[in-house]
Amino acid sequence: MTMEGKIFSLLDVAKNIPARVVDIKGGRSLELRLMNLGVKKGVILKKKAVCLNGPVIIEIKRSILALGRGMSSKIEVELE
Amino acid sequence: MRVVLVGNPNVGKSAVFFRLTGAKVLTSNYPGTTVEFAKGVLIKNSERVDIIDAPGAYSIEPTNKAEEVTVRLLKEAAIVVNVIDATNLERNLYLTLQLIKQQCKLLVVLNMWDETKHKGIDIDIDKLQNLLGVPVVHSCGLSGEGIKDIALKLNQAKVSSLNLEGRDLWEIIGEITSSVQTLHHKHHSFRDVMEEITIHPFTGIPFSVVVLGLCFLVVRFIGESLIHFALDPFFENIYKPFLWRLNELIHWEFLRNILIGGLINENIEFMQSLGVLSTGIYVPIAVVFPYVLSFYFVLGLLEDFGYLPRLSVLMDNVMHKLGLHGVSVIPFILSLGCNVPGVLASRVLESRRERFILATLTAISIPCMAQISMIVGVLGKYGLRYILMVFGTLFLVWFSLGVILNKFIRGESPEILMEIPPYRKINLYVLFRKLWIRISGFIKEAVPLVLLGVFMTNLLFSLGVLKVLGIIVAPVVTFIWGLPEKAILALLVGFLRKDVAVGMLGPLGLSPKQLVVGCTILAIYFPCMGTFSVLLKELGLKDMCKSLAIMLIVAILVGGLLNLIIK
Repeated sequence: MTMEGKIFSLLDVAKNIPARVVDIKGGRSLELRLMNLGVKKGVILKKKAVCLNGPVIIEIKRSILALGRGMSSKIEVELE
Repeated sequence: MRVVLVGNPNVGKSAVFFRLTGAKVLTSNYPGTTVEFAKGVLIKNSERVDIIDAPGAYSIEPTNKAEEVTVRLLKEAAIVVNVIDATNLERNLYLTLQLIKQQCKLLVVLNMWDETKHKGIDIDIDKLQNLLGVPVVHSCGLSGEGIKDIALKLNQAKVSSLNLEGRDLWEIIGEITSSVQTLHHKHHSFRDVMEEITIHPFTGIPFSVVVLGLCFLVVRFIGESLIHFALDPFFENIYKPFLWRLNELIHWEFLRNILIGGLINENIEFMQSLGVLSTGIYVPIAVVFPYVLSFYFVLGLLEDFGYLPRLSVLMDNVMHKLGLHGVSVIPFILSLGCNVPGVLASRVLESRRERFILATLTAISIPCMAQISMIVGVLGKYGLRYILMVFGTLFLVWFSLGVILNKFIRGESPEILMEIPPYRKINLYVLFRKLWIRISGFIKEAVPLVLLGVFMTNLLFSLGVLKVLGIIVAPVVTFIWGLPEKAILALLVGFLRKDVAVGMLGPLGLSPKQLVVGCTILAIYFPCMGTFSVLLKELGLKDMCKSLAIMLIVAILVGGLLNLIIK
């Protein structure tokens, strides 16, 4: 079974595997807030942990970010 | 000449600023330590250079109030010093490129240079300089290394000729970093292990319970030890005999009452006599100061190591129920020291709704350390359970009022989006300098107000102002709260200093139940003067009035309920 090309939301994607952002399905302001921190279409990130029903922790470039769940569900990624 | 320090949050701008100017600013390891700008002066070749430390910003398009401040400051800058976290060029250069695009006269500082070695990062500064087209220097704000270079090269700051029109900034950053930066493999360190433990919920939650429990124990241990082994012996054995001597020397009764206060069973009681020199000195120095000192010491450790952002993530869920997100944990914790910096820190939140909820909850249900230590001081002799009643009630008010506000205030609160900084080694010099700034601030601001508070209390007592007021508010105070009319005095003084107000309940001869009611409503009913002024500044007149109305209503309800429930 190949996972390549399949699209997940950041909420559902497996942990500790590099994934590429393919789309951000939020409004312009969310896109801007994420962009400031380097989260945008085309970048590679890695989901590190999910805090129970709380934020998703990702590693991107060399920073670690915590993102709310709603936000994470709007970020679509595909496995590298 | 006006120089503004600009950079992403938590890159060490304030540390660089302190090294350049010697100004008293606080530094920590979490994004959003500086929410207001600070001004300092650097004298260079007998020329005066104004240096401004701006709040951290990820970009020049602001997403919160703190970033708005920065964007405004940028417009007035002659030279912009862009401070960068050298261990994270990839993210930091985004702002740099935006500044270049804005045609700012720029000097770039690669801060935290010492950390690059630990992390196995090599940066070719000359190459970076050429690519960016502006001068680049390296520094370490904590140790002061490289600061001289910043001062020397200020004059070389220039507008870059790099043309960025129509290009994707992140793409350019990729090109730059891959050509100037070499990464080496590095071994796992203790801090990496800690990072793993605290980021995963199954280990992180138990860990946070242990950390917070330890903090509580350490604050208590340091505070109590100072009181029992140093301050109480001093006041009993040295200061009290001195006061007795003074008492004998003063023959004018009015003055004696003001200075020494009333004798209780033929004795000077530091907690009850209410003299300016007895209670007025004892309360801030021997009751409040030890806990303020120990609290800020422990807070400094948590801040500098970088634990607070992890706590934010773990508490995010709970905060959502209150219409806030995890980042608000930091202002709440700061408020336990003093509400003023806590309310100011609300600026890191994105929406007005969140800031209103945070400020209101803080002013109502987070007692400051001075107040906490007095509550413990006044109720301690009756047993732990009464102390718990006060803090338990405040906790319940905090949570339920948060839920209610979240429900009834229109709008939605945005979600958490926060950078979690790496853990950093604690630098003792920096830690103790910060402690000193906070403690000297407490002594300079609080002690005179406490003295004034005690003085006024005495004066009001002697002038009989109370009787008039008593008639007006008696129904609430006596009927609903079950307190004697004299307790009004405490409510009045509470506007000046809450710790003195709590202390004033002592001499009224209240029952433990009345003390619990009194301590709780004193926390809730109205902010102290300092908090009042930041509430006005941060919320504006209209929202502050709403917030005050909520406080009064909650105080009447909660005081009344406690009066009914407690036996």
